[in-house]
Amino acid sequence: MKRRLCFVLLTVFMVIFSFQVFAGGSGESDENALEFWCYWDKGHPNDLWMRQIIADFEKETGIKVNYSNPGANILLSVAPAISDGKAPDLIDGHCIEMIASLGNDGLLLPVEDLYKGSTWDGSGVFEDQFIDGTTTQGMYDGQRWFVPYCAHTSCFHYNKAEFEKRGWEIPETWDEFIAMCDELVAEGVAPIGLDNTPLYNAYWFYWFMERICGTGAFWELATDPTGAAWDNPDVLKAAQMVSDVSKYFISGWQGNVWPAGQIAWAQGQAIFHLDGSYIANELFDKVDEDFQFGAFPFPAIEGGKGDPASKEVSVMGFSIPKDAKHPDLAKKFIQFALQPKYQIALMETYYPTTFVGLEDEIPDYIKDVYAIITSDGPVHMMYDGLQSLGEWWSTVFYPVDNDLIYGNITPEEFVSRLKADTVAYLNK
Amino acid sequence: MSNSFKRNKKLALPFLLPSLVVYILFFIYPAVSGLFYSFFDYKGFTRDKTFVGISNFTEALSDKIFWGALLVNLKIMFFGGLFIFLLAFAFLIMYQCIAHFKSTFRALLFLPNIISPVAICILWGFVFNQNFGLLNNLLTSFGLEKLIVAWLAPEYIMVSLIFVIVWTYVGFYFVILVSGVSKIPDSVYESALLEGASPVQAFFKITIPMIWDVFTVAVVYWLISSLKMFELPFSFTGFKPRMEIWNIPIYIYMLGFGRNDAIYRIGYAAAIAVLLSIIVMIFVQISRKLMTRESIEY
Repeated sequence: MKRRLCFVLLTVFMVIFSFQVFAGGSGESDENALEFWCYWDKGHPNDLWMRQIIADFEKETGIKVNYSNPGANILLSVAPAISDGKAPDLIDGHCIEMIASLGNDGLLLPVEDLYKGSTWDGSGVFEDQFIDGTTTQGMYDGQRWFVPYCAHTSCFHYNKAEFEKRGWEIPETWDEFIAMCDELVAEGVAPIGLDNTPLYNAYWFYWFMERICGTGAFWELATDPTGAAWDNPDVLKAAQMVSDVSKYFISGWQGNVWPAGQIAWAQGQAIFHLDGSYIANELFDKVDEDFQFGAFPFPAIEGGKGDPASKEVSVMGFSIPKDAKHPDLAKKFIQFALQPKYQIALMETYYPTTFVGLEDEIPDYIKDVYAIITSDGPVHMMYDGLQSLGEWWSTVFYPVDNDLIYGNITPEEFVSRLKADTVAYLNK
Repeated sequence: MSNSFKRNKKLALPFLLPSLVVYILFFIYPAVSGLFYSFFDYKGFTRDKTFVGISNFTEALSDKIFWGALLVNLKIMFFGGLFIFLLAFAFLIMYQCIAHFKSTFRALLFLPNIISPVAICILWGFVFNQNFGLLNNLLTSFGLEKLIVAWLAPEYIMVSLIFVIVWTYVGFYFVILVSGVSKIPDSVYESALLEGASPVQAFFKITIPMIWDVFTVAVVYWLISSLKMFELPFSFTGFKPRMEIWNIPIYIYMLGFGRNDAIYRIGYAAAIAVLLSIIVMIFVQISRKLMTRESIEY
């Protein structure tokens, strides 16, 4: 009997212990607090920026914020949470990823009322603060689901000191740009530095398509189930230009693992670097004291049908999951976080603001980038929005684009392979 | 069966329970769920899923990237395994020949196994860098500039990756083989040497046959771990793994979650994971059949 009792007690203890170990650890949670899951890793300058906003918000409103940092793979944490009915109140990240993954499935809350409401200090309308084209990227079904806190573009980056030394002006056409590259090659200097990453390799074909064929043409290539869009001779021209420009890349670039290529550029081993406007944030501590961050838009191509003034704008910002327990608190926090003083603070992390009216506050290192983002001209999305077609982009386009840029295939083979692969993909 | 054995069996049950719970929660349940989801079109953000039968499996069989990733797996398994075991045996011979510092020798070889694969990749990323990397600088200092290449370029990246894999894991398999050798009685070697056997003959006629069972286990373990290897190839080229080294586990991750370019085809990824499990089982069975020998008792 004693032994049986001992057996039962021990079993009960072990079961409780097991559940304690695996169910525990969550600790006490404040039901009235705002649950905010952040894209930025702990310690990143933008995480520190966000923490300051949270501290101020808690102090000013008395609302507690449960802040955690799932990091760049935030959607891997958000997906099971939403699926289990434990959605956070607020998340942030890249608009295109957020809309492609959550927005398309109707898992976000529209924020039109926030846009139409007032700013935190009540001095104006909330949506009037933003640069044109930055709030509409998260638009879906005629509503906005996303509030941007910074805006990016991709463009050519260079060291202004180097341009001054050479007496160069910003190239406005592709021919002018190539003339500069030829001059550098003659001197034995590498014109273009880059990292070998599919994401960056894809910039070239995308930008040539943008300038030669115009916004939406690249998207059409990926979504035309007949493949007829690939027969446009301008597509072949864009592929040919990718093939041609690769001879100006820094020697051995295929071996550059990010960030080796951009560091090589920052250290003066190459003159131009086609990349996102976050480059200053990533390289500010790796450049010489006399280095001056400069940027210019992808030059116009003679005979191109694309608007040479068309600018890429991609945004990062906040979204509220549809099943958030405290959507009003989330909106209140967004309203608070998007005040001019925090946008000025954001620019200290080398990230461009998404606000108008801060021209006098723009630091030198992002002045050119800000000028591109706010310039007159139509807005288009990064890669013509094709990152939202993640499977086509990653498994159909990338492999063939890499082969083209590596020189493994001709432009004609590039077009015919992608046409066949796209048709097969869309009709499977 | 004695009463005391029955009593002890009952008493053992509560002690085994925590491990059983862990095993069910973190292995059995995910494995069964994976199999279940492989028959669905499922994104993972909601509970909505569509039954698609075996179409995820048939799609995988006509997926060029799947076959390319399997080829990467096979290259790692075959070439990595070949060099790992050749070197492990070479080190074993050295180990048997040296009289001192045996534990230091063993510890040094095992060292890479206790380093995080991400840290290993960062370290080797610096070594392989074509501009300031140690390898190309060494080649320069030895006057071998002709051999300088971009070690992480598409044409060399597989060689570089396999080199790092061999560097990392050779110590682990060496230690397994050493554990087999340590159970061979000294008297067997002594009598062989007395009868005129050379150290090389002793190695091939005594050591290898007598550790064959351990060697078989090591090979099977390598087959399994090489086919499901993830961290090292995933971290080898920075924040986004280069497509030239996508193996099946990386492809599963990319399909299920993606990196910058979200795909979220959890159902399809699960189907490929099921296929990977089948591939692992096939290779394990083949290797066990090929390596089965009469066991030597001593």
